[in-house]
Amino acid sequence: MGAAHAGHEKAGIKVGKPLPWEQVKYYADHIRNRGINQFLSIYNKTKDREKDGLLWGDEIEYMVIAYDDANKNAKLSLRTPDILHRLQKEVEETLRKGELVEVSWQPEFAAYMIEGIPGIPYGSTLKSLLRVEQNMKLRRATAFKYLSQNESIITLTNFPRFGCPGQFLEPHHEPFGPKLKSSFVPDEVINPQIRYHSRRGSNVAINIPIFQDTKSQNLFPDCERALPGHIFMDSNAFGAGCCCLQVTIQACNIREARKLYDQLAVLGPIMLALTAASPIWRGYLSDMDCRWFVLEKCGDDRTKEERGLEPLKNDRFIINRSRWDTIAYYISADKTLKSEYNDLNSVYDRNIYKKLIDNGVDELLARHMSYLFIRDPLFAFEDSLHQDDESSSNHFENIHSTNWQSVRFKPPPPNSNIGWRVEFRCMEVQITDFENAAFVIFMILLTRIILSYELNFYIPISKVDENMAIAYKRDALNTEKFWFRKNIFANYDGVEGNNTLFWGFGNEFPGLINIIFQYLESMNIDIETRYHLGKYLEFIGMRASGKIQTTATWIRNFVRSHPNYNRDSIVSQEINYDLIKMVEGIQKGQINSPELLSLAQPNLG
Amino acid sequence: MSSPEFSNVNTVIVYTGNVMKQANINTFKDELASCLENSLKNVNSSYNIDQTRGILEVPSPYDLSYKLKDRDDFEITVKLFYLPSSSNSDDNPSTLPPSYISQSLHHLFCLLGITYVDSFIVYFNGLLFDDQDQDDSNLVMDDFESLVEVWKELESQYRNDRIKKLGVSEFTKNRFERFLDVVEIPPKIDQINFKSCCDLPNRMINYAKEHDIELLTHKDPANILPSATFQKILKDTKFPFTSKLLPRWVLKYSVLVKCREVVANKGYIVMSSTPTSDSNFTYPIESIE
Repeated sequence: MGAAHAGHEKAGIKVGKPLPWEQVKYYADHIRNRGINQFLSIYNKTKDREKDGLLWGDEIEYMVIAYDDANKNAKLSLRTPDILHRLQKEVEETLRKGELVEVSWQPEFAAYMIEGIPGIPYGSTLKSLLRVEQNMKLRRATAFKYLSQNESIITLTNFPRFGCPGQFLEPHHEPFGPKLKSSFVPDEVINPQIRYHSRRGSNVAINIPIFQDTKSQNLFPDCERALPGHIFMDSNAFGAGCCCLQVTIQACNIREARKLYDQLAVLGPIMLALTAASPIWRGYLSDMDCRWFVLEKCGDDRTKEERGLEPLKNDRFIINRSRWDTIAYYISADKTLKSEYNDLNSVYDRNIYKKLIDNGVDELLARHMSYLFIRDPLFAFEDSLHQDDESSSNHFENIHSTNWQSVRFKPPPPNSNIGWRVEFRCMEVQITDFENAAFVIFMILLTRIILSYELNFYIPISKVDENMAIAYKRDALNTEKFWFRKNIFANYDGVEGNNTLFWGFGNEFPGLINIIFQYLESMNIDIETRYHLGKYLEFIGMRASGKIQTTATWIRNFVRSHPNYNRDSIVSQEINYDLIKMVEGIQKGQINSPELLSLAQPNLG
Repeated sequence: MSSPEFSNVNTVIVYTGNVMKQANINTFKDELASCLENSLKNVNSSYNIDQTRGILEVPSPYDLSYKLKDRDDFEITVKLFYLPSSSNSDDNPSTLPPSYISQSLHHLFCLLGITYVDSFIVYFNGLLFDDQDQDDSNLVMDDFESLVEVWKELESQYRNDRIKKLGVSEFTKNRFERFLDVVEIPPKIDQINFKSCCDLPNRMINYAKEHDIELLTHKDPANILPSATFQKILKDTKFPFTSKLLPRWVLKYSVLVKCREVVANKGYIVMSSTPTSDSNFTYPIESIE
């Protein structure tokens, strides 16, 4: 989830002594003020950077599974700190030999998760889009070397029986530890390298509607924070332990980065619905197909005062959004951004705003930053409280990277040759590398058509929030309507509800995939690259039109057609075992699943 | 507009301007036709006449004062289509005037304010790619000589540094082998129609790899501008010209931002002339200093 990524972490090992929580709060203003200084230093040095080339990278989070075949149980393996250690040793060895590091690894919140990224960014030609799947396959093959005999590595957005009674972890631990205080998950799910503390002072209460099947029963009548007919979860671990697929794209200059930030933010909910892959929570089929709602709740560190439930005494603002949410403000300097599109009016820090304006930042960007900086730091390190603001960005990243927005606008790191970037954070991770690569490729091509055709997706930002709440509903892609701008080609006003935006419909709109195909025809693209890109886009088109199922629908159907399923929304240990085995089989190419993948996959080797 | 100044005009050149800025549902069906229409609708507001050569130019409202800056940041690729009506000779309708090369380059250079293009791909009307063709039965000897004459003109422009890379379209392995026997500067690009339903043309792919040829794709129709289509557009936009006009060549150009894979500008230039006019006018394009 990103809580681990304080700027000074090196190879996943925390440097320095973390401060106890009471002192973190004490240094909050210091960290914020210095963080803004650091931003200003970076901004003034890099705001005029031009002609940065197209580079991009992806991040995938993996889960390690431990099978107990005799008992037909698939569990989460808590061995990833050890696996990660070996993987990082391999990277160090590669560096020592002066060779190219092709894949790179990071720890994640949960001790069953690992994050893998390409060693160097991809780019700058369309041909390099084909490297994405190859690199993803290399990551799996590399990690596989360090697994035990009974272990496997998969990419599922969430583990279906996480938090269930019985054995879902290897090794097993009892719930209700001193840190998480969860009735469902033990503290041992947290990676020991991660510093965890809950700012809000009370456990989160997440209720998501259960999928009502013919024999589903009412749940948890005896728990006061649980709603009837809902799946109740009581810990941030349920969200932080989710796996996702992220893409970071470098823009040619700050103006382009701001434009892409806005446009991709509008498309975020659509991409969430398209990649939906998490219909099971705590062992029950839910009426939600995506992780987003759970993460909004888990990432919400607002105290009662900040939520307006008590008068403001210790806290400074009433805040209407979680730290994990869609974006609060559009920021593009384009004339296509009309001021009325920013209709959320989220609170922001007026003092920080004024300081930014006084130091040469424009209003839109100043408001964006001063919104992000209303938050308190969640951690701090004693050794790095005092930094050189001209060369460090740790305080800036402390606040900036603990705002988990659907899209992130990323300034260059200080004293680097890296440019302004945008990180797209909505997508759910898919079972196979082909699918994950297809979605990464699709996002890159989407940015190319946005820039080539000057596409305008703007809708009022409040409508983006509405779209997000629609996107995580069960089978939203095929059954719900999303707000979408009527004419994306010209500055034309009109907001309309419809969801046939991928292939287009009738005479009104050619559809994003058709625009991408048109764009490819204007490019100098060799026949093999064109052929493989065509396969990826064909796959995306089939998902978008419902010809093949989303991962969430496929999982749901798997459960409901399992011989041991009792039509009661319950995903038993045995169903879970068969599901995980099936997922592994599909990913390895040993099992065919045409309703999920069709037959459109190329074999890039 | 049918004033005396048009009495000498026998050639009409139409510019579509940047089609990326004109994108809408129509341009996705027929990009060239709908953008030509946009330009011709505006003809009364601006046009140029070269009285000496008898050429009327119809610019695009999307091109006003567009000149390319920082030439090195861009890769410019052009494709010249010799249309079915490219020759006005009734005896030998498949003659391909080599002068079209210098004509199209001249007008593009003026339009964009450039002095060279990175790639020039030429498409000879009627050629179709087929990975399995054993002999080039649809290409008779006279046609072939005509291709070679055009190619000689391209080689000349290449030697003058006006073109960095030469290319052909829809050439099979057999056509290539025949061609390589007689030309001096070999094509470095072969652009083939991409059919998504079909498998990769492995025979051609292997040949291209052996001979260091870039095998690119396109989805242009076999006839990108039928005469009937062109004449219908002229009629629909009420183009005030009394004689019939036949489209002779189409130049498609793409201006791509290097290392960003963004299309900065894409458009078409169409040259048309009356059935009996001499289309062999040339522009001297000297070597770059």
